[in-house]
Amino acid sequence: MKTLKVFGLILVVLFTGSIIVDGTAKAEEPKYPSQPITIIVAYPAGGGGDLSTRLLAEYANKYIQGENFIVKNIVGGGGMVGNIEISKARPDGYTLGAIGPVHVTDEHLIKGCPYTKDNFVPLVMVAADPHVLVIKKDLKFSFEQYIEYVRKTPERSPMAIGGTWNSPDFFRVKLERAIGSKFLRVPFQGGAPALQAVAAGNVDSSPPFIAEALPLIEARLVTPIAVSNTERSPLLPDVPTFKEMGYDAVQTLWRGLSVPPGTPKAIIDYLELVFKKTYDDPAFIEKMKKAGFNPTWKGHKEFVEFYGKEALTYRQLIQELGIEPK
Amino acid sequence: MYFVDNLLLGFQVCLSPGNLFYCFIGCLVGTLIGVLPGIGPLATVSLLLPITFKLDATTSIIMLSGIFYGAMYGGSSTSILVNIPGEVASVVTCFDGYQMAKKGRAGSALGIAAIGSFIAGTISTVGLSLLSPVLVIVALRFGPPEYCSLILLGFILTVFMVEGSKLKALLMLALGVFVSGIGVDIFTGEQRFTFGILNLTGGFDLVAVVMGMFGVSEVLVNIEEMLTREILAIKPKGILPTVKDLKDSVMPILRGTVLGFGLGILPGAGNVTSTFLSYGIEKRLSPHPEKFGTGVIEGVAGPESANNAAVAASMIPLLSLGLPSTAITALMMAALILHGVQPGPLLISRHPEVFWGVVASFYVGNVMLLLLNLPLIGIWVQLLRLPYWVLSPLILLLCFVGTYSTNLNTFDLWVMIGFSVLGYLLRKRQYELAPFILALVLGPMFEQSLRQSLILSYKDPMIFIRHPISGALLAFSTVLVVFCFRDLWRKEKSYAERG
Repeated sequence: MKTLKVFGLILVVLFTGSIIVDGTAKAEEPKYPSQPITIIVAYPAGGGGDLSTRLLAEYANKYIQGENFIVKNIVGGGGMVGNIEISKARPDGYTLGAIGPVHVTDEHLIKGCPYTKDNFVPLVMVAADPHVLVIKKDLKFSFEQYIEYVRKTPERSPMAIGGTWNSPDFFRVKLERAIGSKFLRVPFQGGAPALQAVAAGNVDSSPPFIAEALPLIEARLVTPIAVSNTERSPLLPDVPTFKEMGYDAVQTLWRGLSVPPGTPKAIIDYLELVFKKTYDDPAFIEKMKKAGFNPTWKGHKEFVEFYGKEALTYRQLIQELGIEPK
Repeated sequence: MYFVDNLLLGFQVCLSPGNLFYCFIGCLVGTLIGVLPGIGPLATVSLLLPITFKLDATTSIIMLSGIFYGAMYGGSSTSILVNIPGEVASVVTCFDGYQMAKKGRAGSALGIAAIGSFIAGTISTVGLSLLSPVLVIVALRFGPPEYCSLILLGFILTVFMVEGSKLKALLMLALGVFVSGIGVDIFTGEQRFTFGILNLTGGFDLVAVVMGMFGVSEVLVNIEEMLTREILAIKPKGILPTVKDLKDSVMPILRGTVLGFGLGILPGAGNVTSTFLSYGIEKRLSPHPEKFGTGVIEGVAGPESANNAAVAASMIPLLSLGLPSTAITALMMAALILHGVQPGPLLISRHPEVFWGVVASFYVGNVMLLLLNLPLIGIWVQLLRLPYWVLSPLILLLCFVGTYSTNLNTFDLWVMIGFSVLGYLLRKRQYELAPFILALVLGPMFEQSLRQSLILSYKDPMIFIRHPISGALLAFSTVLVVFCFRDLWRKEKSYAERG
């Protein structure tokens, strides 16, 4: 019977918990926020987007009076289920979404995608993570030697990619266009297995995020070639960028928050202020850096502009590649 | 002496009152969530991650890994008691564990699960502390062709371990591989068999499928039996394993440990595969293979040991390569990094107190779990005294809450209901569910490693033979197939004659 009580207790906690989260205020209250604010993450706990959002929520709780941010992972359909929830949320400032490049690319890649980029109003951006191209240690190539090698052997040098039409894959395309040759594309389920394939010598190269690759770079199991940002990464100060080597292959996975369209200006301003204060907290920045993120701030106005530009770039790239929604 | 010194350092770190306390908390929480299906270690670890910001690095990992292996201990309880696997790695425990419970021997089964887990956990911790640098190199030898051949061998062994019709088992295996292919193809981004249902683009959720096929369909079968005849109330006999139980279990536990440890170091495939293989091997080696599936203790002891050994082993790629093999180890890696400790080949030399502290906490945690779980057995067994009309709604409730809480997606509930009906029908027609689940879990990895191998060899299938490890695995599979073919043919004919 003890177990029964324990189960009962857990159920009660769960149900009350869900009421608190879901039961939005019935009467319009003038004061905002008057209840916890949910941030929906469309991916399982533990991934990059989840971790950066959790860190942000954790530190933002300090700067929001009397209320809390709650991170909720709604998972399914490769992220679509959670994104639909975000796109359908009421514009009352109590439901935010964690957004990134997929929110501008999904409509071009997935047939029947029920949302477009316009269902997400960019609120603030907190990070933009570049990729680092690593090659296996047996290839004792410099940057130029490797590029030369790929040019001589088009579609023969295997590159492990952690997925299809995500940030690493788009980076591959940009790099291929910049150097004028192609890699042998070998997809893997996620960045870690792709990186492992380089360390094991099964493939020549992979473009993981810097944080993922750092331990293997430090142990010299893989060799970093170049970074996909406009400036060098503080995590790898000795590694050049593609840009400075003369190749236009800039790609970052940016991470931010969104509100539903139609959210009152006052609420947007208020939230922007809260997250600005959070971003200015050195403790938050330190944690983000430790976790391997590249903290990059864009306020509401800037982020809206940037989001629009990214959407355009991706749309063009996808059209030029002739990718049809599948 | 180097090793002993380091381990002493580890114990010094781990036995400090603070670390000891958090180790206990981790084990306790892990056991509790392991018992509740669905609310798995992943969700728990992610919820507790912010709390660890206030602790130091070693303490956080000690607590988080306590949750991880505590859940493996706890996961066996529901498998044995009500036939619901707490997580996928305890699916195999259902086969004989639940049958034992039906015979009133739940105590023995739970006891052996705890003892086996303890022994396996301890031995593989020794392995972890001694062999970790060597094993990393072995793990790196496993490229796409090796994974592909290993999984193929796993599939073949699973079909042969099935007691009933091999053809039906093969059919279930094929069905599992097919269902695992539903969703977005990671090679091309193409949607496969989703029929425009957006929820299916990521495939079926594993927890929902397992919960439906095992948990809910079991309730359905039992209710049907209740309507036609009265189920005898189970009278638990004793709450601890007998001396004979222990004797029978020694070798399966040791074999399970070696198997779990060996496969656990392979990122991704280890945990679940090792439980299925352990069960298959025990059955082959047993003097009474026909009794497997009716409640023999070896069928619980082997796989339970294997999954706990695999947990310790899965820390090897994480700590020494910085490559997380599961979502949980990915979270632990995040916790370490947030504390400024970079997992990877340099971890042991840079932060010996973290590495050895965590290793020592594994020893301590295993003792704690044993002490924690043995008294709990008495309580769990009492649960079976509840009449089934009380127990069954409770089980259903657990399945629903567990499934929903994993992804907060109501579609998963429909998936669970759908698969419970499928599971019920298949059981009625004597189709085994084990090959289906194994194929569902490993199907994506099988497909990916197959296609990756062929891309890497520029479409030359000989790559599977040219790679020595892969070739050996394939040769072994072939021998198995040829060896058992005649036997298979004869049996199949007798099934056909019997109808």
